[in-house]
Amino acid sequence: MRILIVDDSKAMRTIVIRTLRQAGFGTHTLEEAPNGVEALKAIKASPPDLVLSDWNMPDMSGIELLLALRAQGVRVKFGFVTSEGSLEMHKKAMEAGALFLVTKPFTAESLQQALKPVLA
Amino acid sequence: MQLQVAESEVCQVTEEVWNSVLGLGVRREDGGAAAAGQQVTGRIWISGAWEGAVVVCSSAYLARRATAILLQVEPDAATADDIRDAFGELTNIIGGNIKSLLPGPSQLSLPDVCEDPSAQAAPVPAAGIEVVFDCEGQPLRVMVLAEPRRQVT
Repeated sequence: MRILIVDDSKAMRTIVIRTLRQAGFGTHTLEEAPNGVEALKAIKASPPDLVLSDWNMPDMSGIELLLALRAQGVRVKFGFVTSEGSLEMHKKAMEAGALFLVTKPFTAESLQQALKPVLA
Repeated sequence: MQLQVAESEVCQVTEEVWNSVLGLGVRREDGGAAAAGQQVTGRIWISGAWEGAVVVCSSAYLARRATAILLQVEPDAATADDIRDAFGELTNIIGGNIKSLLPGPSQLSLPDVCEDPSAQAAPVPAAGIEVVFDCEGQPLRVMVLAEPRRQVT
């Protein structure tokens, strides 16, 4: 399976990849996109099995990326990994079509809990 | 604009982030003052139902160490861009978690990071709180400032 990690921070992409491996998802192909614009191009060219996206990014935020994908009929599985975990954010994410929202800082266990049902 | 978050909450968020993301412990320094000297400062604005900023400031040494831990490289191998990226992300995580404690709805900006080779610890404005920590002998300050973005310097 292919998982696309979208975050404008190289440090955070490194942490997400490391934690995915710790959570037992290291056998999947883990790909990266440094922003929403690049992610949109990559997903349309070859949709992954799951997109893990930051929310707050320049040029195209994670929620804008998700809304653009859905508007273009791309039904790729999508989850947020974000520093903002309020109820309001959860509601916005689910209404837009996200399957989960994991709050930073996260653990291998919280990633596993979020991803296992989605990748099963 | 009132400050609606307690020092204890800022302390809890910072401890959790520093510990879980970096594996480093922090100890609150009651009445402590941040050391002058080379500093790295990350700042993130919150706008909406509450307006203000979360500022994270550390010694350059600690910022480099944190970067090295995040990127799993030797400290000397971390570039200035790496440090800005990593410290910006730490500011983003602390800021995002503090935002969740404040009145909503509101938006979080992208973080700004600057390095100042000779900074003096600036006084915290009246509408703000500051929590000072020690992280393995290095200073770390987290401030929550209740001021609209245009007034924050």
